[in-house]
Amino acid sequence: MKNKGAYSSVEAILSLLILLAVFLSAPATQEPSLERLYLLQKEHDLLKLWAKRGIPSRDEMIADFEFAFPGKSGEIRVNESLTSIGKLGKEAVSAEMVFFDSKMNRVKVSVLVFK
Amino acid sequence: MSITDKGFVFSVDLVLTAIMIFLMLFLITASFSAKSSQTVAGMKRFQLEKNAVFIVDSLVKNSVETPLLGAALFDGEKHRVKSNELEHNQLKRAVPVGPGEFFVQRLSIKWKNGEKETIIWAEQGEKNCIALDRIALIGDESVLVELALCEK
Repeated sequence: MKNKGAYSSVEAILSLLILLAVFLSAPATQEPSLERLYLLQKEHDLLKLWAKRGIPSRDEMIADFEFAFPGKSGEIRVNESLTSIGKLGKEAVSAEMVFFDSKMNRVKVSVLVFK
Repeated sequence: MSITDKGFVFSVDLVLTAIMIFLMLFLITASFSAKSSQTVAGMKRFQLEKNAVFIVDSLVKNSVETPLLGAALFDGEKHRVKSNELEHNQLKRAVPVGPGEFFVQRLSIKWKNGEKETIIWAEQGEKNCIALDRIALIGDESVLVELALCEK
């Protein structure tokens, strides 16, 4: 070209297309959610229930868990004894409580719910 | 093609490039607009979720005149509220709270034997709603207090 001016080239077009692809492929922002807080609150409710009424049997604990968290899986641990409910998941929310029974024995109870 | 000594050279290439650039700008703007709409909708949903979580938490933890915001038992001897222990008669008197951005579509109690007791019920329509439940005691029985909140 002899005259001064603007001109386009294939390389320039390719660069602009790549830039466009970068802008459009920006990851979507994660929506905020209170699901973890809500699950934690329900776990605390369940632990409070057991503290008020006394630690129930294993079967009753499973029944309480399934009543409180229908359709969800999780684990209940009383001191060293672990009870699993349903399939294991990847993400979980857990809460635990330590209290002393009428004979001053230390009891540690934890509830874990898979999201 | 118009050519001057100093200035732009007009050509088909340039027109094509300009079209492509404007198309790109349009796609970028449309993408940002879609994402911002998504964010606004997400924030509205979060607001509704937040209100639902706080209302149902208040219901099981507090003892106030408005049963929807606090139906827990009050221990007169110890002068404290018994959280997660509800007064059944108090809860049955619950009514929806005043005007706002949301309304209570449903408040119900689910007993462990499967029975359900509905205290508040309203037509949902096409609104976005969120339903939560919390565990509590009424007397010696475990119950699930279920609350559904909808956008107005």
